[in-house]
Amino acid sequence: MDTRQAELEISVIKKIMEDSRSAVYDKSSQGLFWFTLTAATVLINYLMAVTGIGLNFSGLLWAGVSIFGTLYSIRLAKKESSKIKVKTFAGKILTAIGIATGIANIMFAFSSLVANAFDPFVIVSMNSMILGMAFYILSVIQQLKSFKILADLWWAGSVFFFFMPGIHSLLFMAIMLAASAWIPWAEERKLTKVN
Amino acid sequence: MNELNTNITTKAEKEISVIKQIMEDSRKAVVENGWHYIYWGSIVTAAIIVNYLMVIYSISMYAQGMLWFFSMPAAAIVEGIIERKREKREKVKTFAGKLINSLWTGAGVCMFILGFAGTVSGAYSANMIFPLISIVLGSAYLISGVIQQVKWLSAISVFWWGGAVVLLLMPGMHSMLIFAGMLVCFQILPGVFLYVKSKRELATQPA
Repeated sequence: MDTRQAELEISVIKKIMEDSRSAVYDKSSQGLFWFTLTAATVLINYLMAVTGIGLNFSGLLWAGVSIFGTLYSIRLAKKESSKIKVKTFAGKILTAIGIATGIANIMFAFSSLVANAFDPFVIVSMNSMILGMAFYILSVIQQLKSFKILADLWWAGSVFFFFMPGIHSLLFMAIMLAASAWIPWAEERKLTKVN
Repeated sequence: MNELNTNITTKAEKEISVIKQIMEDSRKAVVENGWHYIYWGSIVTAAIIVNYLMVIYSISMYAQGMLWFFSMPAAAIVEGIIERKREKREKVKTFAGKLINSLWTGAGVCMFILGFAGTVSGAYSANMIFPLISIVLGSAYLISGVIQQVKWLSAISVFWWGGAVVLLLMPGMHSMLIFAGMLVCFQILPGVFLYVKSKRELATQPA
């Protein structure tokens, strides 16, 4: 094999691997956005329920947040797609995790609200359980310790709120969503600085 | 100068062959996983049939709970022993293999929570375990298909989720048998198919 050809091939393979890693981090902006937005909304909803102020507007709040979130998410995706031309393997797995978790959460809501399988408060336990699975896989993909700890916390919270369902599960959800967005982000930044 | 070039070339060729090896290893590790589907599908189907017979013969709920409480951890321990032996034999742990392991470990934890925490806490009736587990399995299959790069494996998730909706809207004792049928069609059979395919692929690969 020619030296130049060999070097070129190695650089291409290296590029593929680096692209893969950067695609994971670029994609995380969607996760960061949705987790922060949902955390804030759940917290507002919790405060509404605890204080009794504006509880009638709870549905309106979620509808507004969903519309705004979707529109902003599309804008973010368009911005990203112009930057990242190639669909990487890691990116595909992340997308699959996002879709699988989203559909599962919708189906858990359906199980409670339409099929009356369980009390609506138990939805938080179900959401926590499936998010634990998502974060557990992410801990292997991104190789960040915080993902593994977050997965354990989601599962512990899920079990706890199966036995103690109630309004305060919303506060747990809000805190965990915010932590799940920003703790891995901080760890990743720290690692990037060190390297 | 020429000697230096030859050294660089040899090094480069070696590096490329290592990367190629990693990629091939990765594929081997992924396609070999069919047996997990067969193993768990068969064990859970057998446990469901035993549970169904226990219901028919009016054996206590406590005994039914114990069936699952002992059989599932025991199956997980046996799987762990088999996996450890396999790992020792294969020596290399690939990234794709680690991903699949983490996915199914995560799904297993979810199913354990649904089966035990959910019912012990009284959050839902025992009949609801099957549709809820189907939802988790649907998600796991969607991700699994992407990791293994087998599109039809991802498509199976639609059947799991569809089955979950049917079981949610029409709960009853028959839920057990429907779920057992789903396990055979969407877990054991795909597992057998993957197993046969992987054996064929390994047979055609150069040693």
